[in-house]
Amino acid sequence: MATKTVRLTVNGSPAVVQIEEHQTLLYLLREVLGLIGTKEGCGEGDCGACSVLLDGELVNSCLVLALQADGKEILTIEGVGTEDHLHPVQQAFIEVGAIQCGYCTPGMVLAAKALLDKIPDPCEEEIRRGLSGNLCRCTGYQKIVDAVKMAAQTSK
Amino acid sequence: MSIRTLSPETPAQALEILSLQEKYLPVAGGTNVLVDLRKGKITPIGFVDLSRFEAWKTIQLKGQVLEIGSLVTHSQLEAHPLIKTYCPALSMGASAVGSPQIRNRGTLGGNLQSASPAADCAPPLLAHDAFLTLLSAADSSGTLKERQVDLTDFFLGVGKTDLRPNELIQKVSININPKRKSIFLKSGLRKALAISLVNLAVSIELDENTAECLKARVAFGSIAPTPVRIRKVEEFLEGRMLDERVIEEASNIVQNEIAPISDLRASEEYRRYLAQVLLQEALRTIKSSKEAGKWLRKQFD
Ligand SMILES: Cc1cc2nc3c(=O)[nH]c(=O)nc-3n(C[C@H](O)[C@H](O)[C@H](O)COP(=O)(O)OP(=O)(O)OC[C@H]3O[C@@H](n4cnc5c(N)ncnc54)[C@H](O)[C@@H]3O)c2cc1C
Ligand code: FES
Ligand code: FES
Repeated sequence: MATKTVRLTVNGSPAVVQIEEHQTLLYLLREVLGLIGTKEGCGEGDCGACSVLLDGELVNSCLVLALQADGKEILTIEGVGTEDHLHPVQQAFIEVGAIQCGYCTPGMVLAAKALLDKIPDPCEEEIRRGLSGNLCRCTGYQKIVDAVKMAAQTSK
Repeated sequence: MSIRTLSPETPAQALEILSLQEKYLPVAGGTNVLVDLRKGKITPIGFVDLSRFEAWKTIQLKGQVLEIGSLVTHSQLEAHPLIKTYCPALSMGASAVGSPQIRNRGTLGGNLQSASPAADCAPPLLAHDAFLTLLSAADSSGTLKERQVDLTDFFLGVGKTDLRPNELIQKVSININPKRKSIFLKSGLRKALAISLVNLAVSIELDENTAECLKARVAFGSIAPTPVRIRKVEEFLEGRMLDERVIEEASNIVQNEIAPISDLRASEEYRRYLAQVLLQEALRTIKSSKEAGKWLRKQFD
């Protein structure tokens, strides 16, 4: 089986992994590094459950070849906040009640963080556009949008 | 499954691999390739990762020619001042693609080479008479072979283009004309992640004094196996003033010129109707605003 070495930074720490050449970044994170906060929903770019930041950009990790992440910096949900210090987006999701089953939440939080990093004070339309690659089957989205608004306020 | 992935540092190395290995497939953003792989639509024995070619990720003006590297992403196209100024329809088309995640990864080259009838970058580039520079491996003298193809000749059918297996798209070029304004409109089912039911780009050069239409380009997606220009409408518009009567007449011509498909997402009749409505809206917007910037704002408000 054809494998190669990938050197990357995940949540601030360097990692060196050996991986099959056709595998995705999602597989690298979950199956090789055991970072199972990143979810697999559709595997085809539709749901956003696998969203991570790659050099600060929001991507579907199911559509990135692991080898393309060589030399890059990845941020997964495990690196967004700590249990003692939640990220403002995480805190707002809890306070507003924007989480039901939670399957979409890691991806949603990263999409929201990516949005706020670019547009610190987004309008409702910008929030919906920023989250448009992330599906949620439980909440009906309004509470998620409200949580992002709250996070924008508390981050000021 | 065992697929090799090679990550060459230079285009020359990638082209060398492609010239020797027929079943190696280029990968840019991977947003189409990895979906196709998962669905079993493609069975490559290897991938050639293009993502290290920094020089192919740039947008620059060289004299009167706007050169867009094939690895430029939709997010770059959407935001870049040169694209907004000289090819506004492309900025709008790129902003209509999928989701932030897809726009951050998906590239212009991948969008064109996928040859989807619904590709959102195709109509804008057809409306700006874009041409492609295709490269293949060096001959004995050591220089890469280069070939230019007009985008109108590039699309051959659903998923089929004029690109040969040993070639790569290096860049997409446009001869700029500051008087040429353009607009892109798309109608989809849902707002995000919607494949276009019909998409349209129109570019028009108006006589500043008389408001007569000097040059017109009308390009549709999703109404034929490939994105297409509707030359009868272009010819009709050229030399006429853009008034209500002309706009009505132009949209009637579209009706007769297109033969859209019926599928699960929309019937033939509905697509015909959409094409008509989109064309009217595009022409009215162009008429009522002489500045490309204004149209952009109208789109996103
Ligand atoms: C969920 C989802 C939603 C989408 N929504 C839209 C949408 O709304 N509108 C739209 O237009 N598209 C959409 N797409 C399609 C697609 O993502 C884009 O068209 C994207 O631009 C493809 O670029 P890529 O770099 O990811 O291509 P890749 O997947 O890397 O490549 C696609 C094809 O092009 C070839 N290729 C890539 N680059 C080159 C090159 N430089 N030279 C030669 N061949 C090359 C590859 O070999 C492959 O055959 C969507 C895709 C997904 C998964
Ligand atoms: S698992 Fe990646 S988008 Fe659904
Ligand atoms: S909370 Fe269940 S999918 Fe979003």
